[in-house]
Amino acid sequence: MIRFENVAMRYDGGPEILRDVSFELEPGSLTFLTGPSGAGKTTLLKLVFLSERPVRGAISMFGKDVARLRRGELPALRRQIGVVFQDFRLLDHLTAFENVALPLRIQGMPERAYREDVEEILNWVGLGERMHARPATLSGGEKQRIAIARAVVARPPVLVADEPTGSIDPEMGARLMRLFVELNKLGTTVLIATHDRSLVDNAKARELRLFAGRISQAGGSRWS
Amino acid sequence: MELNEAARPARPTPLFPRRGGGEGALFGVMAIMSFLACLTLALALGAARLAETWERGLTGQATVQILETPGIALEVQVTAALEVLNATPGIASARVMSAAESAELLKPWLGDADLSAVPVPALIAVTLDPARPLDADALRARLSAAAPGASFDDHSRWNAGLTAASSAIGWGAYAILALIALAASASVVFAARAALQAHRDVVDVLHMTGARAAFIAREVQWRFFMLGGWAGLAGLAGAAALAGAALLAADGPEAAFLPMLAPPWRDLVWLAAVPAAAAAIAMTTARLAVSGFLARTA
Repeated sequence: MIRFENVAMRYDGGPEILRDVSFELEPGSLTFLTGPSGAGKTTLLKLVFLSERPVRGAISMFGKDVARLRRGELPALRRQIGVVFQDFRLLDHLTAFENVALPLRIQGMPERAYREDVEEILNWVGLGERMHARPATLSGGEKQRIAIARAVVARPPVLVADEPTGSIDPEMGARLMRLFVELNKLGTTVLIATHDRSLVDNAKARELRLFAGRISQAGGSRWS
Repeated sequence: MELNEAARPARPTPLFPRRGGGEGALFGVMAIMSFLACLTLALALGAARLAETWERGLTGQATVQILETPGIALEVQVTAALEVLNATPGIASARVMSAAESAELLKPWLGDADLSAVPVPALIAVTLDPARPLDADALRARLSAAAPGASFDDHSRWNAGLTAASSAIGWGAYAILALIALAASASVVFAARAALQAHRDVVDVLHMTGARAAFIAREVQWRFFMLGGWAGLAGLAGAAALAGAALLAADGPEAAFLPMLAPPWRDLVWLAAVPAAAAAIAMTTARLAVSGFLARTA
């Protein structure tokens, strides 16, 4: 589904942040990306959700070579990937409902076509009563759940989350993790970047360890 | 849940926040541009109407002047000229002006001088038939044959000068309108780019969630369409207020000499096009600017 082969990445001629990174995400898999701060986890995720392009190596997504993609093809591919950003990236002037509905709205759907779906997913993340609140009035955990709901509302085959439990208490972290596991069981390929060891140990899933820009594996992986 | 429904926005919130994009300043600039465009357009239309009025007044009239010629009495020439004029197609009527009328016409130049010692030419006032074209050259030839001292003046010299002058005013006004449109477009380009820079976070999120450039451009262009339209209306209202004040100040027969102050209804239709043009310019330019911006940043 997503395959990295000897990928290297640097910003504007700076030092290489990633080097010779190779792995593959199989459909329906749950994978953790771990490593200390500054190891390159966020940069690797940016490559996965097509925010950046590598300086070397090959990335294949859904059978397409990313290097050969035209600009006009990017939106369709990005719609296949739900992203939960570390800093949530919610739009402060929109309500929780409107933030979650964003991926459907940009597909040109009218509100009456997606209202039920959005309300259902807000109930699923436990925020049905707060759907018309704006982000400024929500707690960190609530924002995180809105961000997750937005990432999955269009049912993308791949979900990528960057430190999804970084700014919330352990109890809420465990609750969010159960959401990811549930999504994974429904068939979504999930990649979670975290430095929270307890999350990884409890989930007993495959782990990609990133250290100083290089990757290693744990948990019986299928990376090459 | 009832409270929840009460909190639901009546319509989807625009994806780009209303504040922080410098749109207030653009509204002011566009309103001023529209105000100036209304005044310039009124000038162009007024100049065209003035020229039309002059032309209508002058082309309906002509004059035959008969000078004394040695060997032929003036009265004989006048009679012969009248016969030619009355027999010419395109002439509705011809009337010999009295000595008193001729003296009245010369008064501005000669004052109250005694004209009995001066050879004053005879004048025939000719009214043209607007329904039938006149062959002026053929008429001149026949008049010369019948009355050697006669000359026919259909005022075309004046017409040409006035038409050229009003045409120059009209084209000048249209050139100013084009410059105003260009300046408005440039302002919109800067404002659209500034708005996208100010809301870069929104653009990034839209990109990451798979929005196409055309979708983002559409979101922005409608904002500028509405802004341009309202600014245009504000400019039009300002121009209307100024015209109203000028009409009140020039209340009287003098206003007839200032046709741009009393526009007819058909001109008001053209002025109403200014807000529509402002909206169209704002929308089109914003779309082009946003598309260019996104092509560099996507």
